[in-house]
Amino acid sequence: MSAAAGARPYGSPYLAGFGVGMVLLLAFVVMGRGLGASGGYSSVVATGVAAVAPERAAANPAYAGYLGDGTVHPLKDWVVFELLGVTLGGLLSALVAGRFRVMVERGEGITDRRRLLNALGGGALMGLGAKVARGCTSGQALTGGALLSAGSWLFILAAFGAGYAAAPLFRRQWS
Amino acid sequence: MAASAPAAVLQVAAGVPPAPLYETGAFGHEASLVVALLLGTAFGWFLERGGLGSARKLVGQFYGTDFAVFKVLFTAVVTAMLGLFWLSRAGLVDPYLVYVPRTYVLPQLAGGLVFGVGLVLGGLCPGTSCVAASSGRLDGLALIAGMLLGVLAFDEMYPALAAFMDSTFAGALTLPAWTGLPVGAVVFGVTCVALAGFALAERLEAKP
Amino acid sequence: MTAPRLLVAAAVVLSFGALLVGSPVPGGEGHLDVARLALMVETGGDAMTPRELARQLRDRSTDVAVVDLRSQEAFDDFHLPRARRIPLEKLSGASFPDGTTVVVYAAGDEAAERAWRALQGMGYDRARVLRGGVGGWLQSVMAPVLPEDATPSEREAWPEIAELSRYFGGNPTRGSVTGLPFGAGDSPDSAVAAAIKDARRKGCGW
Repeated sequence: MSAAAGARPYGSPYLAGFGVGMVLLLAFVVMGRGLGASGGYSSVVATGVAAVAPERAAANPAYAGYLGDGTVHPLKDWVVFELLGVTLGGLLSALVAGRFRVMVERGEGITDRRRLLNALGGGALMGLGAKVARGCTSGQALTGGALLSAGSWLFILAAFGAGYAAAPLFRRQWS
Repeated sequence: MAASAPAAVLQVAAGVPPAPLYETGAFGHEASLVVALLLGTAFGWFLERGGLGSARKLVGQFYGTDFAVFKVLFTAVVTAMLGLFWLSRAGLVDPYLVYVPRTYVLPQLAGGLVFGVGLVLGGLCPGTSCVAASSGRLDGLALIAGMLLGVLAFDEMYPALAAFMDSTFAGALTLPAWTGLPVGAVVFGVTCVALAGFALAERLEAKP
Repeated sequence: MTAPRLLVAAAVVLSFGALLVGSPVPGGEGHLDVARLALMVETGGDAMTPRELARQLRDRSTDVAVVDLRSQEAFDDFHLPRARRIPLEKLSGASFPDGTTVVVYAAGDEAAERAWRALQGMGYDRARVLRGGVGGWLQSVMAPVLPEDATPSEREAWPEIAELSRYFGGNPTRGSVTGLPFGAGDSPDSAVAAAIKDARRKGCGW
């Protein structure tokens, strides 16, 4: 598991899943929406592009939804705040359990540098895929899954399927 | 529009569900951001506890060594699904006010495939990357940077992709509507599949 | 019993119960096809504009029923032609002839949308919400305005709109001011546009 000294082992994934499920249920009951993640990245990118090249941002409809009509700052967005919370929650849990450690997670088969480059590439693919699918594991698999959305279940099958198919290609990175 | 507990009780008695609270006007946008922060914190906490902030543990799913991803995801889905069903049934929540993601068949299929490859190459997803980064994992940071680039690439290409993105729209299609089965039957079916999956996962993990 | 086993037991009981019960709504009334309803809302098929309703009423369409959801005083003050007053709580006891298009309206959209869902659940799948409610009717039928900067196609459509308005005793005018007569409240278009924008922003996973 974690390589930090004094680190406690991870908890039961079932109990963790139950916790996540209760958070998702609370989101439904309190907000009438589920959880998300990739949308927050879209808000950040839109804000960045608008700051650097406002005319370009205004001309592209892909940014419009995230920039709004100017009355609310695009970063004052539900998912952005949710992601800030996720970051904080992860930090708290890691600290409490002694699992905080600055490191690069990888197998023995590759170097830190290679791993970081792969992470960059994998992230780019996920960013693209999440935009095309209009969501990611949080918005589609978790939220859409619990709400029995047909397209979300299709996303789950496609993502898991592709993951299993591509896994042999990257075995060295992880072992 | 319940502003207090007694009012909410009267609403339930009159057959008007008081929830989802934001949709029935219980509070506004600014307060909802606080809600987002709190829910997100709990979400991140449980993800880290379950080990999904660790890329090596996460990809174990795709090498058949560690099924934490399946366990966490499906336990969460079943929990929220059953919870929403019964709270709705009890008249406490109006399920039709909960936003259901829209179905776009081809984009979700294509996006899912690309996302899956990225997931196994990167080892973390958009949410868990934040957890990894805040646990000190530098690969988490690299993933976040990669995702921002991927989103930027999509946005810049958007005019060429717009037609594809709007194709094969099927509305808020749900499994019950698509199969013609009652909601309760689908709920039961999903739970059975999850439980069977858990049993299989335990068996596969027990093998050395 | 360990915690995971407790969860499994709860899942089995709750999901089996769901199977028996079938519907997620209390009383299990009606089989609401959520996907179809949501699609109708997205594409506007759940609504009827005030002018569409006005044309159907003028043409003496027999399979349109108009339902006013507001209070008795509001109804007495002003109500749409041929409207019946049925408050929300009494709606499930009402009945309409087969194939009727039931158009519901209130002051805004919220009560009307609740009523629309209830009617759909009762099997009236030709139910419609009157877009903009009473205010919408007042603005677009009773007091339509042709703005000074109207496009050619708007000018072409104007005579029919003006005649429709006069048929119901309305007062069509030309001018630059799109003011709201009779203190009808918020512009119906801004409320609808705001609701659509809100729904889009919520679709987040993305």
